[in-house]
Amino acid sequence: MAVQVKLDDLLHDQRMTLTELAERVDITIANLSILKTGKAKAIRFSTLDAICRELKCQPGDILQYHDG
Amino acid sequence: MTNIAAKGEEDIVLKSARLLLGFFRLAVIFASVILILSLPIMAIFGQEILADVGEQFVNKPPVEVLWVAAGFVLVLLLIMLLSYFTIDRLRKILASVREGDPFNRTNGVRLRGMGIAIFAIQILTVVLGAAIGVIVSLLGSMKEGEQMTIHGEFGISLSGILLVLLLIVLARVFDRGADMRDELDGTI
Repeated sequence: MAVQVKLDDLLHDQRMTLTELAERVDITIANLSILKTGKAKAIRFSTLDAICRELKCQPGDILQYHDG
Repeated sequence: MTNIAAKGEEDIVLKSARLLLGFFRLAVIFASVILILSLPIMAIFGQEILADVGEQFVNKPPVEVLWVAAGFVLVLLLIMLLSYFTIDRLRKILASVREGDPFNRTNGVRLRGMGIAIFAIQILTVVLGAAIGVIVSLLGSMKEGEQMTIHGEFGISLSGILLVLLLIVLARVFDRGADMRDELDGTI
């Protein structure tokens, strides 16, 4: 898919683990892992909202579009 | 999801449908056994049956009547098998509703199968009507004072065609439902 999820980089920058983020945004680690590995088909606004709030970032920091 | 399943468990409509389908299934099995048993009886006591029936007719019935009657029973048996197939599929769909997961591809396949089975039943009913016509023409005229009435409708009915259409359209609806569920499952 041309849209990539940059959750790994953000977590690294924030020194936060996936487990910690999962607890904070109230999403299972399994689902967050699907999102992180780019296997998710869609992302809810509520999920995006919670991740942006906890990682103090913009939606554009999480998602990136690669042409081709 | 669990709440819906729990509701399904208590639903009086689902419970009644399940019980009714269980009864229909037993009735179809019973009718099939009777039909299967009737074939050897026709083979063994064929002449006696013909003689008995022949008393009501001007001419002695030809032996072909037995062959057509045997064919009639076989077609009826096929209808029973298709009915069993349809009832069984419907029971499985009901079970999936009770489990809280009805929108899956298997149910789409089941509904399509039921539609095809009911279409086949409609066609076979026409064959039954034709077989009765042949038997009546083979038996010929009845003796004076004798009377015979045949009950039943043998032909393609409008409600039958509508049911086939409904099942095939519903199968497509379930296919789309399964697609939508897959999409929802991949939404985080």
